[in-house]
Amino acid sequence: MALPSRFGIRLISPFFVPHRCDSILASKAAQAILRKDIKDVEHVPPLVPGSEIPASYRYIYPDFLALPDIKKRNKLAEKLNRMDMLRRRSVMEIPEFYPGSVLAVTTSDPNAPNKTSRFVGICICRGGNQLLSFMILRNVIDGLGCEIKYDLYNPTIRKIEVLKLERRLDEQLFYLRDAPPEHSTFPFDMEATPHPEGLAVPLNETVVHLNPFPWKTRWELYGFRGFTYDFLPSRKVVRKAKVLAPLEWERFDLMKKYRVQIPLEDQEEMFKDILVHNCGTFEKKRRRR
Amino acid sequence: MAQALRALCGAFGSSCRIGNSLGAKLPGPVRTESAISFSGSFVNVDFVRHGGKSHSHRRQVKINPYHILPEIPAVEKTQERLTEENAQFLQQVNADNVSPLKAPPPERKPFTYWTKRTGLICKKIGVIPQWLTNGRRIRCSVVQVIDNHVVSSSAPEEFAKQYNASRYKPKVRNVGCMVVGAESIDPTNLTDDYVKLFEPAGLQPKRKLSKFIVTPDALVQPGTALRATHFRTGDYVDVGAKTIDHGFQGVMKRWKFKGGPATHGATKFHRRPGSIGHGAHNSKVKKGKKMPGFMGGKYQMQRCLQIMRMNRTHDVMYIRGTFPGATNSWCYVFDTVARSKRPLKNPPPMPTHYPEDDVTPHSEETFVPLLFQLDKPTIEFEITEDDLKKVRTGAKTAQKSPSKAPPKAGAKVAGKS
Amino acid sequence: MKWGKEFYFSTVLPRLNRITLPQQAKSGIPISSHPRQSTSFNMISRICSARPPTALLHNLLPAEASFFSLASSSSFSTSATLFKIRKLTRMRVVDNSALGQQATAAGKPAKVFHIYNKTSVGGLGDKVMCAIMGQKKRGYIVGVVRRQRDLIPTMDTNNLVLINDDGSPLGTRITVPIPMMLRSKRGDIAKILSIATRFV
Repeated sequence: MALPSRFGIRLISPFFVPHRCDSILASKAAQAILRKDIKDVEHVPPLVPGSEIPASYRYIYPDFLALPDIKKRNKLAEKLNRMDMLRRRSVMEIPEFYPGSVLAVTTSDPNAPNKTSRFVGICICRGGNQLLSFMILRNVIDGLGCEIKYDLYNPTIRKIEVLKLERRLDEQLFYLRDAPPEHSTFPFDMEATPHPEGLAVPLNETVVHLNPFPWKTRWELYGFRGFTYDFLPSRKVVRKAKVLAPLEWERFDLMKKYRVQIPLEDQEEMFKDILVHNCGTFEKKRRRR
Repeated sequence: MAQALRALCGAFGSSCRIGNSLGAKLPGPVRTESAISFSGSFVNVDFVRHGGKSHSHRRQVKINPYHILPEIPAVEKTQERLTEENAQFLQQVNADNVSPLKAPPPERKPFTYWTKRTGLICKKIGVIPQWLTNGRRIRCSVVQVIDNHVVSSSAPEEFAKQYNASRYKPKVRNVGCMVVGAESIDPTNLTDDYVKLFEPAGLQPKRKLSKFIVTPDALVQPGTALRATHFRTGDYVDVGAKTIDHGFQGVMKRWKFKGGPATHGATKFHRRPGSIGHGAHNSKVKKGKKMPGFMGGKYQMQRCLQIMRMNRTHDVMYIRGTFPGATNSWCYVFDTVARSKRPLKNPPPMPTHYPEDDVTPHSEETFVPLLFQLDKPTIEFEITEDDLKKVRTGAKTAQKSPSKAPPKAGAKVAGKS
Repeated sequence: MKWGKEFYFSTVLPRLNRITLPQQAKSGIPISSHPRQSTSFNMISRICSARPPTALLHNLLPAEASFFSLASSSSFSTSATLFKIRKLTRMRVVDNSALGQQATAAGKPAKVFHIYNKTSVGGLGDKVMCAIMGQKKRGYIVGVVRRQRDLIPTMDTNNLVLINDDGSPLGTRITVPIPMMLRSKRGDIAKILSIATRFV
């Protein structure tokens, strides 16, 4: 039976394709920094030698980086964007978190009876750039998996609490949709695990065993490291399927890296504004005391 | 970044396509060190192909061979050869050249229903999300007014001579014309003829020139700067820009035709237009028949967009909504043509906003009241009487409903722990 | 899932074909010799315990059909699954109505055949007409798999609450959480929200 060409063997791409697989978190340098048991964060060497900006800023404030598309970049627009972001951050704190951390978000909801609503969930994805930055939280409530997308700079968000700060083996945890529900279940009254300042963000190396087929997307083709599965595809299918995970030699492709990332000098400029802002807020807090 | 690129060239040898410091001839587009350093941190864009779309070919940058001595710049030459007498003479001559700005500006006329003011030549620098005070998110196109100056302005009589000679004849005859320039550039790489265009107004040469048809009461003196304050926050504008060039496109993409079936035995008929006419005695194709052709790359207007926010220092406007054109492309912003939005009760500055008009001290940024300012406290919604009633009735129905497990008091909301 | 593996495999989602392994796997040699396979993958060489081969290929979603159709030899391109609720979409009934529970137990989910909407795509809070256990019933969509805009939850299943002709719900309670945004919808849907236990 000949199927029409639209019923193809090639993979279906999920809504958010994990681009930039050789991301800042996956790079060896980043891993080295984050795995270290650092007691004093200030002693982490900066990425650009001779700059005042600490290396941790790239991980704490990834939303400040603009889109790397050269044609769409404009320094003035980025600057105005950053000013808006810092204004919002001076009102509401957006904490450091990574995909894999458990967060609790309190929002002002016009539909709720007491006009607030709180949602707890594991961050499965963090994306967007500057004011468009978002995160997706997932939780299984009463047996039903729910995911909510939050724009980080949405002014109706009252509070973002990190209940558990940790990282996972992957930057995107969409495969939890096809995993047993216990991996995505977090009670709403979960207490926050305190994370002492200066300590490196722990890496949670749990490997999830996915449910049997069928899955919502072909997770096995993306190069995720955080799950295992029982299904064994035939050699034919494996040969035909295109794998989206980065090729081994791609991490040496400098030109690709330059196109996909923003130059370090521009990144420094972006993070400088945060440094100035942080110093200012630090001063304010000090004066209050 | 330049250092990094040079190191890269060293590592990969002469096979690298980026020009090395010696300026040796390399295959493909030549890039000298000056070009790299000018672009600052950006990577060579020419590596990216535009896939069938039209693009202009830049002339290659000339490299001087070593045996030709560098030219003495023109300024230095004149200073070398001028005697004291000649210098004084030149001063006198310059004093006679009166810039149009030295003359007092013309009388300011009121804004009427038929008034048409100038537009501004702007650059679309991005599309940013903004939020309203009710929590809704909107898209705002960020538009920067780059160095707009009036280069020339022609009264209706003068303009009539120009357009009678050309094909363009405006419907309303009693109109004047203004030439506005945007983005000042260095005259060294320009031709003399082009630079002379700006001399009467006493302006630095501009990258972009554009004509605006205006009514005589809205004519502005040449040499006047046009700032973003020409408009105000809350005003409605029309924005015109060149749409994204899609190149030669078929009928399905260009005109949204349905095409043919993908399967069921269709022989070579999947994306074709089908019939283009009908009738034997009507044996011709009608003019304007939708067919494949070049799509996009033409000027379109987006009407009645509101200016939500303005930044005076940077001359930046946040316009609600989007309009055609890519980021970092030119666009023209005019007062809206829509009758309901013409600000007759609160007229805009005529013919444009002058710095003397700022009597009261102004803030750097102005916002429309509906727009949420991000340094304000988080949006909170008020609890009204109706909401309290709903909660009470909800609790009652939950108690009434019979079920195996005893129902909890009141509707359970995720917010309560 | 609380609603049982039986339901999960046999009704809402397509059925598996029995997959036979090549000889190598049975002998224990790892099969993942493909150069592009990441070495940190854990491929367990075990025969997958598949369901009986009652595969209904025409009912399967396009991608799954292709994956299991080992007969096809060429590579095609597919687009991302949109998860729109259209005609013939199977929905999960989430109230405790007798009809809904009967359908769940029998493995015959409600099938939407009309959407009361200008566009024939159902969204949160839309009324639909569905066929369930041989009967025609109306219902409201209270959960959607399709990606929503921010602050509105997306669920893992397309959820439906059955109603009578007068708009009153068939069941007495909704067992799963419901999006809070449904409270802003006016009309008959308010009757359903009163039987809801939890809002997200």
